[in-house]
Amino acid sequence: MIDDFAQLERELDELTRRITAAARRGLEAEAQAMERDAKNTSAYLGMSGATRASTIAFVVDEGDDGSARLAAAYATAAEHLAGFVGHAGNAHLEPSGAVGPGEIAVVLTVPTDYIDNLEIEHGGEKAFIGPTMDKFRSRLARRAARSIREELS
Amino acid sequence: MTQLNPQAITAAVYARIKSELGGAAVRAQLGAGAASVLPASGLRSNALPARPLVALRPGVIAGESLEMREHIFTWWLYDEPAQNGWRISGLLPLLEGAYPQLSIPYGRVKVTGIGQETIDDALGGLIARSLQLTYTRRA
Repeated sequence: MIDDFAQLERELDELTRRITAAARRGLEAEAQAMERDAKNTSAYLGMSGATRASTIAFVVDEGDDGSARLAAAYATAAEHLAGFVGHAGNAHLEPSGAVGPGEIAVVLTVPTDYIDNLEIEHGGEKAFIGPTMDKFRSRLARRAARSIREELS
Repeated sequence: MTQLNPQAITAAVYARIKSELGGAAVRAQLGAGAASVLPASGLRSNALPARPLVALRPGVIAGESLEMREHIFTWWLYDEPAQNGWRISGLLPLLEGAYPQLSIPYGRVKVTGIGQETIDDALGGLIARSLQLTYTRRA
């Protein structure tokens, strides 16, 4: 019989924290695999090297919007595009967006102002962000679930 | 278990709109009927068929051994900028309706995404929109 509801609440909070942290660990591991896969794509050849070098996948939650990793990727893209005249594209920084309490998201992106063109032109001929997400969607969910199982076992 | 290989699945998804009765309502709204249905590789052509047109791009096959396999396909819908996206918006439900769940043999197909309206600068500023289908079957 439960007679200490404050204690019960504390234990449930702790359980929630452990589950969320485990899910995040699993997603971070799979996001790294997803980033490697996206960087290795053969969907496009590339000109400056900026897209491949700055392709980034990261996990965001209420306490971490990924802005530090995004800023680093932006700097990488800017470095590759500095002085490059093969096309008019630029590095472009756009916040990944906030998530609410208890939510975790995985972002795969390229901080340039022409990544949308790669995804769209000629019916997605050079697209790799969308296809990589398609490939990893269920893997991410499985990895998070496995990580939670391991935490609770 | 009887299965279709990826090439046969792609052919079945494509034929549904290109030539089968189930895609007739889609073809009726295209610029040149069946001639306005093409594989996405055909978008490189200098002479695109009359708009609106639809182009199929086969995507990744997701799923590990012993799991359900997901074959991703994207229909890209294109129209002239002057049409303001009205015609391709009208095509979306027709395209979706052309794929009842069991319309492709040995698996299930469903719409898993519809992209926002955009402009394809590489195709002269045509209005574009995508509809993603996922065909699922046992590996």
